[in-house]
Amino acid sequence: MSARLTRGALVLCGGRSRRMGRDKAWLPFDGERMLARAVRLASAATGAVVVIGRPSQNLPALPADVRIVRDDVPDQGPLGGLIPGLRASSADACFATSCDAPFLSAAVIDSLFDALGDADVAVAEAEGYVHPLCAVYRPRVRPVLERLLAAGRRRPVSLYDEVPTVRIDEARLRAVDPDLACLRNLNDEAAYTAALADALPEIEIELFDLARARAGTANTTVRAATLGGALLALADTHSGLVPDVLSAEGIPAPHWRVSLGGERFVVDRATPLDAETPLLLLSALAGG
Amino acid sequence: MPRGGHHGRYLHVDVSTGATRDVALPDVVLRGLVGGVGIGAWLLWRHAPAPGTDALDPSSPLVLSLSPLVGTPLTTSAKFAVVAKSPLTNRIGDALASDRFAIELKACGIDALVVTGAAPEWSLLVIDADGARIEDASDLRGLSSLDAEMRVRERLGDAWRFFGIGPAGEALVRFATISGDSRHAGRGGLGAVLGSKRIKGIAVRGALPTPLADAARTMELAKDLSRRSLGSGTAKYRELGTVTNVLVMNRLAALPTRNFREGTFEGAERISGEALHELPSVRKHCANCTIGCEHVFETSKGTKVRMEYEGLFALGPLCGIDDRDAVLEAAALCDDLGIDVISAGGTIAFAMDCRERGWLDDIPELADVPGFGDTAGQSRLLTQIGHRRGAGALLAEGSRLAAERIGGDAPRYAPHVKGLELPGYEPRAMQTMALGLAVATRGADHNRSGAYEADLQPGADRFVADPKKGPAAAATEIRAAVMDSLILCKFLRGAFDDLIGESAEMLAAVTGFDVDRDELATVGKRIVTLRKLYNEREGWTADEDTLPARFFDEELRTPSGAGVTLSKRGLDRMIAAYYEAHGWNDRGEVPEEARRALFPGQLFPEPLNPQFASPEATA
Repeated sequence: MSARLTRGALVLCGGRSRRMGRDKAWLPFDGERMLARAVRLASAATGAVVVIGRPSQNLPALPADVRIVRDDVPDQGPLGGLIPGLRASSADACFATSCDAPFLSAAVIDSLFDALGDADVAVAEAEGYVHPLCAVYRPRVRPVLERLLAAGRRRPVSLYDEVPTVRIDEARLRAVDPDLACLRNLNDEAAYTAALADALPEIEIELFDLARARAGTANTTVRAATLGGALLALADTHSGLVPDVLSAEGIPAPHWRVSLGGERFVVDRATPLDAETPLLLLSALAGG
Repeated sequence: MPRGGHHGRYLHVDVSTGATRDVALPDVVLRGLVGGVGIGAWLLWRHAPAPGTDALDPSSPLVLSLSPLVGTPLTTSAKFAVVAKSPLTNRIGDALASDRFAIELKACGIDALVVTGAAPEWSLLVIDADGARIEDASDLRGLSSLDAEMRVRERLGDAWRFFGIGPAGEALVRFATISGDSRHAGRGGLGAVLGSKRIKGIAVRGALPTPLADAARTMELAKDLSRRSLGSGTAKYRELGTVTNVLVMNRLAALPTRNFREGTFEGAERISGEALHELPSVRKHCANCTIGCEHVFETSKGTKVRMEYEGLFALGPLCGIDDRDAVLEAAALCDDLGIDVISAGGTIAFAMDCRERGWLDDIPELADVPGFGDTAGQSRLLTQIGHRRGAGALLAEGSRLAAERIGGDAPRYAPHVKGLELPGYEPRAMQTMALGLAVATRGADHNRSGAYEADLQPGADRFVADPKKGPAAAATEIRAAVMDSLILCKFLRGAFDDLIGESAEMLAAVTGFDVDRDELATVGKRIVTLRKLYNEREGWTADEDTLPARFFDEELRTPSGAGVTLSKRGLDRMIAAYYEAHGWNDRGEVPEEARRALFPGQLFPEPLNPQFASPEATA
């Protein structure tokens, strides 16, 4: 039965990011904002994606076919985000995740859909916790969710106690995701930094002329695997470079050039980087 | 629409007698060559004596050419071109200068000034709206241009502006400058040309406004250009100036060091623009300029010095000097003497190189020349050059003639093209720029060719001489000719989306000529061609379009540590592609049909002296 399900995905980003201190939807991660990354990864294993944000929350650019809806009531936790998402989705079942999960895996998502069977929910359970944002939900749980929230019952287990739920245990998860990477969330800077370090090489960037003056440093490092990732991270960490040197999305301003090791100039944002070769950011306006 | 921008006349002064002539400039010339280096080259040709006449012969003209935009509210337009046969290259020499002198000269009701002859005694040429006169300048002899300017303004009044020479111009140093308000027409030794006429300087005061064909549209465009001039395309120049190029070029192994022995300098950080900005400094503007690129630094002695990348590289790394105070003081000395910092640094670096190779041991007049890194020695040589004393007597001739005197392998290491010393772009590390340097009509040049832009393009291999870059190099010459005829500051180029198209709009609003992008691009091509034809007239051959031989067989270390040379065959192939892009033949000559196509009707500048007219004109 599950093979004939139409799959959807819900990406929740309406949290307040209190521990991070800045909106996690906008965190750069190898050339993408985290929300865009989560949407891309979820979409690859499902189908149509619905993003659920806070009312008036400013969101990064997303593909045109992504539907964006807003929390009915903010700050209701994951269950609150699921309600408008399930209302907006036309899929038979939706994988739900948050925007701060950088290592979503198609294999895990497939496992959840495969395990759903006739149940209403399939949820990951590992290391002693259930993970409501690594789970698959049928739309018919929405009235239950509404009732629970109306009663002030915001804990996810309240839902699982009321509707048919399949729990995917740690062993099954590790069979497809040995390190349980899909359960990692970027709750604070330390978690974000650690995730970047685990996934991406450290790239040295040398800054010249106006870039050096605006950044207040001659050298810096970012974590990135591609040119686009490095420049986005640079723009994010050195806001003084924006807009005269880089756009907020890490696009070099006209007349700015990026060189790999001083040997060749590159522009393709997919250009792979390695830790041994520094990036140089310099102006092509040489003289008069 | 009424005509504007031009006054439609130029002033010819024969300083031998003080005779002056007002001469009409027909619209076909004003529209076809616009102004600046365009009209300047046209007048140079028109007043030229016999081909091969010495640049310092009294009959050789010196032209100051204004532009239709001078005196308008368009930002950075207070500029003029100085054009003459260069005593350094014996080819066309043109240099730009800026500031209020341009506005005052234009307000004298002329589009250009042509000076010929030689005054019997040192003189001051005084011009106002009523005409020109010669005054005694014996009291100005030996003064720096700046001091002479102050003396002249005390004499004539503070509203007068001055453009003149320092001691080096008087001594006919082949790379002497002409300057006003500390801004130099720097390259090619045009100060020696003025000196050969025994004219210490030119004082001007005008009263006539520049007429505008469409004042409202001009004002609209001026406001828009001023707004854009404050954008990101000029931020580097406003905030830091070109001195920050030192570390960029150093990192790219393109910073000429110790007479081009290396492309990186271990002392680059110490003399970098960033190091200079640790000193007290102020930012200044030319007249009618919203950018304000000038950064004036104060040394520990209290000397205030305007510094650009070219002076910094030439007096610093090129001579192996990493003492920022010493480099700034050397630049100030060049300003006082009135010598071009690039040629001065290049010639001294070459001499230092020869010293270290042991080639000067048997040349008594060069006994004073030190090795690399000797700041006191550099300062001493600059002074000697400025006054043609001691070793300076030979070094004042420039590196090409000095190399001929030294002999042996020295010419391989003299850093020049056509006699003009190389600017701060290592040709082996920027091989499209190597093409630009090799073919430029005024010699090794970074302002009439922007070929380096092709080296900085993504995907380009700047360590390879690629013939496909020939058209790009040719195109940058045309763009530069357009800017240098209008005249607009090249620091503005980052503010344009379509440089030539937008320039045509401005030109049309100011002049009333209905020029469009295509026509202005043709003007640029015409000017490039006219300069080339002048050089052909003076004996140019394709053999001159090359670089010093050492670049072809001595390796430069790239940032990765690899060794690279400039392939002579590769350079020749690039040159062939460049000639083809300009429509010239395989010997680099302008075909007659191409000349006719670019100079229809009476546009070609037939020499006034019928003895030197072309066969076509005398037929």
